[in-house]
Amino acid sequence: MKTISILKNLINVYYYIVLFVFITSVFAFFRSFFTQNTEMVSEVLEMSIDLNQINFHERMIVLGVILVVYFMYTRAVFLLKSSLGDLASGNYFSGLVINNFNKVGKLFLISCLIEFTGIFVLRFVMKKKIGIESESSVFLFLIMGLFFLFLSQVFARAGSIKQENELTI
Amino acid sequence: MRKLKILKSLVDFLFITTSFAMPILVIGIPALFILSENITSDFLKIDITESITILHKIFLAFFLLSYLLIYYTIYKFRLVLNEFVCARIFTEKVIENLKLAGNILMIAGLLMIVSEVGLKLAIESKISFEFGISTQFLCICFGLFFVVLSEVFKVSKSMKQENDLTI
Repeated sequence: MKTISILKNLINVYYYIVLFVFITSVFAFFRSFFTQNTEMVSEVLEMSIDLNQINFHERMIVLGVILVVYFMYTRAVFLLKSSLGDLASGNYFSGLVINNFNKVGKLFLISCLIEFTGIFVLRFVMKKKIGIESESSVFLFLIMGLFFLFLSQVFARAGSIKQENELTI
Repeated sequence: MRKLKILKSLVDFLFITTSFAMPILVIGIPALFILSENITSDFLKIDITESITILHKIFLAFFLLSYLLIYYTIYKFRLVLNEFVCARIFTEKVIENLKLAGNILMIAGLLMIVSEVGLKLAIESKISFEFGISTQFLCICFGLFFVVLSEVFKVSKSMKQENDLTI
């Protein structure tokens, strides 16, 4: 069970990093909204594209999509973090773990859909060319989303076996 | 079950597409030590102004090796999904493969960190490590998660056995 504690600590640290990045991104987004200065937002989001090339409304849509994906990701990591608390205490098949895995799966799938749409729109706006790059995290989000949804079903099944076992005894 | 089939198809697709890059990696690691410096830097598209030493090559080999290990993890994950599709969830094969995949993914993450820190140390003579939303960190986290899953599946397996015996 040492592995779970290490994972729990790592996810805790990871959550605070992701949260910090999200808060900084929100700050950079609003700064860009009020000052029209895109330098900070490009730096924070490590964007390789020049936001000055597009007009204000397009820029806000692009940044909005990125923020929504960041929010979904942060929320998913938070749910994972809270599930690991139950897992670490040996309560593997609790309703919280099953529900959280289900929610994490759905969040990853929604992130995948939003990112896919975002990249599609961004490409259309920036390069006037439609397409999607293979190295984007869309594919990873899709795999992770489906895996977590499946895991929630497996955990629910294991939970019912455990209940049956306890009732039999 | 439909979701599982989609997941399996996606992982199969990922496995097949990454398979094309594997011969390059398998040849690339020994080639790093055999080929001349110019060819090595051209092949890897790295910008090193100084001459490439054996230390650079070792760290680059670590980096390439980590990708080979990730490929092996995808292969093991695929085996796990094959079992799931056949409705064999709490089996020894699933537990073993998940544990192995997790351990290998953790090693891959650690190798990535070692190669990144080592290359920076060898090229720029400074020690630095970016601790954030990075592939290395995700690899280690997912590795640990797979190991945890294998432990949970082990518990589930024994519970299922007990259940089957009671009936």
